[in-house]
Amino acid sequence: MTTFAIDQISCAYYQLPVLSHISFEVHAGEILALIGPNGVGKTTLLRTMARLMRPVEGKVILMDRDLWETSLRDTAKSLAFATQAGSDTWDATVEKIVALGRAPHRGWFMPLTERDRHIVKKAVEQVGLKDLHERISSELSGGEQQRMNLARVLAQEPSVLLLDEPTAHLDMKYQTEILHLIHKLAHRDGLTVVISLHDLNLAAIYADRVVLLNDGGIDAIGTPVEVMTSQRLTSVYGVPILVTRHPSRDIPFILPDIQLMEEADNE
Amino acid sequence: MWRKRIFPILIVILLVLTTYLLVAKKQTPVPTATPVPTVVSAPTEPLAAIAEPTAVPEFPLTVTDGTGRDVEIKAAAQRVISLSPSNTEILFAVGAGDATVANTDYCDYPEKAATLPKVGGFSADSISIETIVSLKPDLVLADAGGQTSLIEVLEKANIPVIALKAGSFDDVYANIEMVGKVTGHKEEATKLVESMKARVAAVQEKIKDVAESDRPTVFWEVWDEPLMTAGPNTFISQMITQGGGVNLFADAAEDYPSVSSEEVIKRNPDFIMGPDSMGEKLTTDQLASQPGWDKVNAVVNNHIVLLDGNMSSRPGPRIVDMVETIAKALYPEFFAK
Amino acid sequence: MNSRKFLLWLLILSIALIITLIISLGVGAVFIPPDRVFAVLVNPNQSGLDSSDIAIVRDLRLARVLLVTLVGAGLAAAGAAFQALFRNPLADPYIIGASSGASLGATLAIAFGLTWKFAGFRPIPLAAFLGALSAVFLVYIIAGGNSKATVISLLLAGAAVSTVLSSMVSLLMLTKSESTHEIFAWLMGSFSGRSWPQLWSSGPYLVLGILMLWLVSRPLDALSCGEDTARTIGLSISKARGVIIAAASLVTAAAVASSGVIGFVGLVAPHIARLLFGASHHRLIPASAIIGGLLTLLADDLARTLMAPYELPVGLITSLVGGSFFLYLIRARQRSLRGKS
Repeated sequence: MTTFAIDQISCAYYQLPVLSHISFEVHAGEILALIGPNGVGKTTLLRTMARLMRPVEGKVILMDRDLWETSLRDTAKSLAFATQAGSDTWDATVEKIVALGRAPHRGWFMPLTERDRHIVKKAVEQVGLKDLHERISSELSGGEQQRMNLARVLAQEPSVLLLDEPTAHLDMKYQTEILHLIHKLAHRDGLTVVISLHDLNLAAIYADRVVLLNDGGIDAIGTPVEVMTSQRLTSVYGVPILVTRHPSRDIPFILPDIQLMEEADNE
Repeated sequence: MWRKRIFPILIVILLVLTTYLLVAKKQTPVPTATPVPTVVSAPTEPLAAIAEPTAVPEFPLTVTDGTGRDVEIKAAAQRVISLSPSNTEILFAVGAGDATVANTDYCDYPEKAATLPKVGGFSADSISIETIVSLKPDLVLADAGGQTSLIEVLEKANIPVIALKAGSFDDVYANIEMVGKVTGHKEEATKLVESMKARVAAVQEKIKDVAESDRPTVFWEVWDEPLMTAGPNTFISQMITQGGGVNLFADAAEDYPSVSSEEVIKRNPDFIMGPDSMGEKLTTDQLASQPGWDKVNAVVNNHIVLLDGNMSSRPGPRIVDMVETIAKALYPEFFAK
Repeated sequence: MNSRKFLLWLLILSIALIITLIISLGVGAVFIPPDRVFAVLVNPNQSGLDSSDIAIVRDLRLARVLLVTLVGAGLAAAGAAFQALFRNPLADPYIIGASSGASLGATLAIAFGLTWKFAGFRPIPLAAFLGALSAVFLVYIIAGGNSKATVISLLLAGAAVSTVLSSMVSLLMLTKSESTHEIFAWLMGSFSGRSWPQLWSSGPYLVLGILMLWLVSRPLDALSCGEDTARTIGLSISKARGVIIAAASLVTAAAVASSGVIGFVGLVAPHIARLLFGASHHRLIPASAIIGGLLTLLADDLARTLMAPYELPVGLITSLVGGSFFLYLIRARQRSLRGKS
C-alpha cells in the first residue's frame, strides 16, 4: 500500500506557478526532509500535501486513496499538519488547544473520553510542556507555542505527519529534543514524516531521505549523503558551500565555505 | 491569577448592588388605593304600565369613542385618568374634576389639575401603564390621535378606555357630551355645550354683515422651521373661520403642511397669528427684518397677534375663548367695549 | 479551572440571574416588594392579593423580564460566536449587517404603515426580523457565498451593506418626518410595552439559536485557532461558517425584532465571560448567555426606574455602561501589552 505519495504535483501560489510536476513517495517509518532555498515552495508543497491547497495538477495519495476524494475529517484521522508558528493564537489553555487534536476521532459534538484525555496528556508531556499545560497559550513564548502545536498534532494520532519548519524558534535543547522525538515516532512507532527544514545539518542528521527543491522542481532526491554534495548545494544556494564529513557519523556536515568567499572578495 | 478573576466578579456584584440601591431610592410609594365605591345600578322597573314616571336608568351605557370602538360603561366613572390636557380640561369643565385621579405632565389647567399625580407625558411611549394600573382607575380618557397603541394594553388589564378624537368643533362638542355622560354629569355637559355654541353664535351675529370676500385673511404659523401652518380641517382653522377670518391656506390638502415663505408673501395675509410659544420669533420687528416680509399687509399694519399656546392647541372647552379673542383682534371695531 | 469549579461558578451566576429576575419584577414606575412578587408568582389566587400587583407583575412585567433576559443571552452568545468566527475581539452580533437590515425593515414598516403579521410577529417586529435575515444573506452573497467567502470579505461586505442600509434609514427618517420620532425610538432599543406576544414570537428563535451555538462549541474552538488549523483537524470551514452565521443571525434577528437595536451587550458579555471562565466555547457560550441576560436585565431595570414614569431606551443605558466598560477593557489590554516585551 502506498502510505503517502505525490504524483506529478504542480502547485501555484495565487496564480504564480511555484512547483511543477513533482513526484515522490514516502514510506512508513521514514523521515523525508524537504530542503531548498527560501521561497522555493516548501511551504506551498506541504500545504498541498496537507489538503489545504488544491494542486493545479497532479494527485496526492494517502493510503492508496486520492486525498481530494477523501473528506476533510477522514483525512484528519490519518494525516496531521503542524503549520509554521503563527502570530495569533487563541487565548485558551494549552491543554484545550492540544485537545482539539482529538476532534477528528471524537467528532464535533461528543465529549472527550478518558482515553482522549490520556492521549492529550501524553502529547503535552512528549513536547515538554507538562508544567505549562494550564497556561493560556497567548502567554507562551514562540518556542513554547510551536511545541504546543506539535503536541496538538501528536494528539491527532496520525499515521502521516507533515511539519513545516518545526524547529524554527527553538533553542538547541528543544530543537534536539523535538527532532529526537520525531525520529522516535518514525522509527519506533512507524509514523510517516515529511518535514521541511532550513537547517541542512539537522536535515542531514535526522532525515532518512531528503528532497532538494530548486527552480520549481526537484533537484535531487535520495539519502543525505547522496544529495548533499558540495557542488550541488553551491549551485542551488548560490553561495560557496563546503560539505565535509560529520565527526562521529557517516553523514554530511555542511558549512559555508568561508575560505572561498574570502578569496572571492580579494579578487 | 485569582486576582484577574476576582475583579470582574466584583464589578458585577457592584453593578447589581448599585442598581438595587438606585432603584430602591427611586420608588414612588404605592398610592394608597381609595376603596372603589360599589355603585349599585338602578334596578330596572318592569315595563308594565306604571303610575308615576320612573327615571330611566343611565347606566350601564355604551358609547362609541373616537376610534369607532364601542365601550361599555357600567357605572358613572369615579376614578378617571386623563391622558391629554384637553381631556383634562373637559373633565373639569363638566364637573368631573373630583373624579380625576391622575393626568399627564402637560395637564396644567385648571390649577387643581396641575397638582394631581402624573402618569407620563403626551406620546404613547412616555405613558407608564404600570402607574395607571396601580391607581386602579375605572376609566381612562386617551387621545385617539397618537395613543391608540395604549388601548389594547389597557383593555387587557380590564380598564375601560375611551379615546377622544380632536378634529372639528363638532367633535369637541360631542366629546364634551360623551365625557359628561360617562362621568354622570350629563346635564352639566349639555349646558356647557349649549353655552359654548351660544358664544360662538354671538360672535357670528356681530360679524354677519361682513361679506366673505371682505373678511381678513389669517396666516397661522404653527412652527417656523420648517414653516408650518394649519390646514382647513383642523380645529385651529375652524377657530379662525368661526372668529370671522379666512385661513390663508384654506386650500391645503394636509392638516399641518409645510409651506414656503414665498407662498405666504405672495398670498399677503392681513393678519399673522400664532401660539405664544413662538415667542420672540413672531413679533413685528422680527418678521419685518426678514427679506420680503416687510411688505406683507400684516407686517405693515402691525397685525401680528400671539395667542395663548395652550388654549389654541387643546381641543377642549376653551376653544370658544379663542374664537372670541380672534374675533376681537380681527374686528376691534365690533368688539370694542 | 476544572469542571467542578466551573459548574460552581455557573451555578452562582445562575442564582444571581434568578435573584435579579425577582428584583426586576418588583422595580419600575411602581415598586412592589419581593414578598408580594413571590405571592403573585407562587399563589396568584390567594385572597388579599392586590389586583394591581397581579396585573403589573404577571401581565405587564413577567413576560418582559423573561424576554429581556433571553434577548441579552442571545446577543451575548451570538457575540461570542462572531468573536471566534472572525477572530476579532471587537466583533459583535451586528457585524455582518443584522442591525442595519432590521433597522431598515422596521423603518419601512413604520413609515409606510405596513400591516402584515406572521408567525405571531406584529408588523414592525416581522419587518425587522426579515430585514435582519435578508441583510445577512445579502452580505453573505456579496462576500462570495458559501465557497468563496472569507473572514475579510464578510467583514468588508458587512461594513458596506450596513452603510448603505443605514443611509436609506436616514433618508426615510428625513422624508417621512411624521414617523421620525417613532423610528428613532425604535432604533434606540427599548422593551417598553413588550409582553407575552413578543415573548412567544421571538422566544423560540432565541432559545433555538443559543442552543445551536452551544452545540457548535468545538467548531468555534477550532476556528479560533485559525482556518488552517481548523481544516487540518477536519473541520469543513464553509459548512461551519454557514451554520454559525445562520444560528447567530437567527438569534440576532429575533432579538432586534423584539426590542430594536441594543448595543454593547453582545460585545462586552463574552469578554467578561472569557475573563471569568476562559475561552473554551463549551463553557464560554453558556457563561456569556447568562452574563448577557444579567446585564440586559440590569440595564432594563435602570431604564424603567431612573426617570419613572418615563422609560429610557434600554439601548441608551447599555451603550453608556457598555461603552464605559469597553474603555476599561481597552486600557487593561494596553497595560498588559505594555507589560509584554
